[in-house]
Amino acid sequence: MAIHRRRQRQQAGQAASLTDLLVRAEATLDQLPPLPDPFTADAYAQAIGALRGRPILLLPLGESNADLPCGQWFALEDCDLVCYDAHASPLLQEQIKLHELSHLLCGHRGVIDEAMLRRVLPNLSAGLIQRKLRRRPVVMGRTSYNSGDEQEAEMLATLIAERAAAEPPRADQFLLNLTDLRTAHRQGSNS
Amino acid sequence: MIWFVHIVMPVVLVAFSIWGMPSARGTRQQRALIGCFAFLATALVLGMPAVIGGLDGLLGVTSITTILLEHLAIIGALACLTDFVYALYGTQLTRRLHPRYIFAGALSVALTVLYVGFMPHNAAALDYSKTSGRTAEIAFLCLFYLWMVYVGTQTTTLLIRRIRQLRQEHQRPGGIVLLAAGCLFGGLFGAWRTAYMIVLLATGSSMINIMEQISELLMTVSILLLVAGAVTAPISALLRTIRAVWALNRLARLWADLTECVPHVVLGQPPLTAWAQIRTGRPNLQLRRRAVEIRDAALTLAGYAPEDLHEQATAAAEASGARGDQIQIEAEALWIRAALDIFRSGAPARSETARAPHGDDVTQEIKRLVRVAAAYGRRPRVNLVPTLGEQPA
Repeated sequence: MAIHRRRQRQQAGQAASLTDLLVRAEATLDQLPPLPDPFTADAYAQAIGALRGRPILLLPLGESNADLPCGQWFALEDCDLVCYDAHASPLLQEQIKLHELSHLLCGHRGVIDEAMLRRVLPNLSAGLIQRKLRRRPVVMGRTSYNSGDEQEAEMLATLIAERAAAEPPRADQFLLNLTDLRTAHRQGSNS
Repeated sequence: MIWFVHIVMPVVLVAFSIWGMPSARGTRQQRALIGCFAFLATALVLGMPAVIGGLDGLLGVTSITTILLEHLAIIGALACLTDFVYALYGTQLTRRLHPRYIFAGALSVALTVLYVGFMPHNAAALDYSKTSGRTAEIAFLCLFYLWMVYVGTQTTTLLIRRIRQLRQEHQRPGGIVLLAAGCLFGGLFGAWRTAYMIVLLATGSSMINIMEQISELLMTVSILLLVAGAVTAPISALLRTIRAVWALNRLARLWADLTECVPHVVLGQPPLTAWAQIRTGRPNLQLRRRAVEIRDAALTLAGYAPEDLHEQATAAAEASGARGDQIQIEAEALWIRAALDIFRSGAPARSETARAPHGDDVTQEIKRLVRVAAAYGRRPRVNLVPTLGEQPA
């Protein structure tokens, strides 16, 4: 049933090509601090947290259900909480973490979802949740890519992972562009 | 050897120059490098016997192609090569005409004056055995080869320094090592030819053949190393693209079946054909997306699959004769096939999601998925769905 709801949500989206999304995400990534080496999503979260002066907590979710997002970011009063599906494969877990971090890096804002936070943190009292959400009411979940924010976060996450997995930079990289007029022209105008 | 030098190499260099021509609008490095190859291609084409005969006949001056035009083209190539190395080394270049080009121009004028004013314009000028004792010819050639030695030494030294710097910065020099080797052999060629001229002056023509063969070998190795250095990066990129497009297409059927049932996991409009994938570029990024989407879809399907489906799939894979780590691959393929069938049958979502099978190593995940896709693509030896019977709601 949940799948059918997701399909309906998704009908309006998906018009953007990969290339369009990529161009936007690359512009964002170029403004971000360098990736940690060796790279892990956890190390990246720690680095971003240190940079922003707000810790980022990564929380694996044991409860998994088709109608729950596989990742969530809660901007709480004194920290950011990134939840991810513990049942997902390591590759997908990394992607979920990076997706939620990308929301944070892009400055996206969602809607308050107290019910969701209660499911994620069942031990917190309702009063505490109210207090935690009072000042920074931001929640983003990874379900589908039918909104511009979701598409942007997912592409940025993919780009971060791709860049992290890339081989060390080649000094002869410019030789790749010998036949790429667009890149060559861009580089030429920058030089 | 002659056919290689006079036919294969000119063709390769002309093709390479045309291929890289668009980069003439690029950076100074790119412009200088492609200029170097264009001049080298010109020099080698001018060395082709048919071109020599045709051009000499056209200009009405015997030996002008071999003695003058060919050498001028090489001077142009060396000036561009020096400029390329300086640009690569990071020296700030101004918009003014650089002294390197001014020096190359002056040398070209000097050689032209020597040729026009002091050298015989006939076929004998080609015959080094008769050059001995002729001051103008020896001066002409020594001037040219000494310039080669200078350029070879300078470019090799700068490139080696640059390679050391790059290694300290944890960058891979890649093709620059081969370019440095090409410059070194170019310098050796110049030194060898200078020594050759001195031998000619001193002893006459006793070792002409062997000297010529070694000269041709040094020149050929130098040019081949320069070409190899310039194509290393594009060829590596091409191989990576081929590998990624191959993997993308190996995953295509598995991805299509999964995303047909779970379309919300697809980001944007991914290119579907191999040509579209190449045109879109970033094949490794496309591959990562495809792997993530497969895993995302499998995680969603796990919400509809019974908890013991994985155990059943593993038992079925073992029973089908799979061995070693292939058992998990076959089991995963069987699990996906069964989970898709369950989903398509309209089974309701379970309150607790089962664990979808997957690998545990992020870096090996795509390789593993390619194997799973291959197992999935084979005709299933076991169909798990009928054995599921009553599924718990």
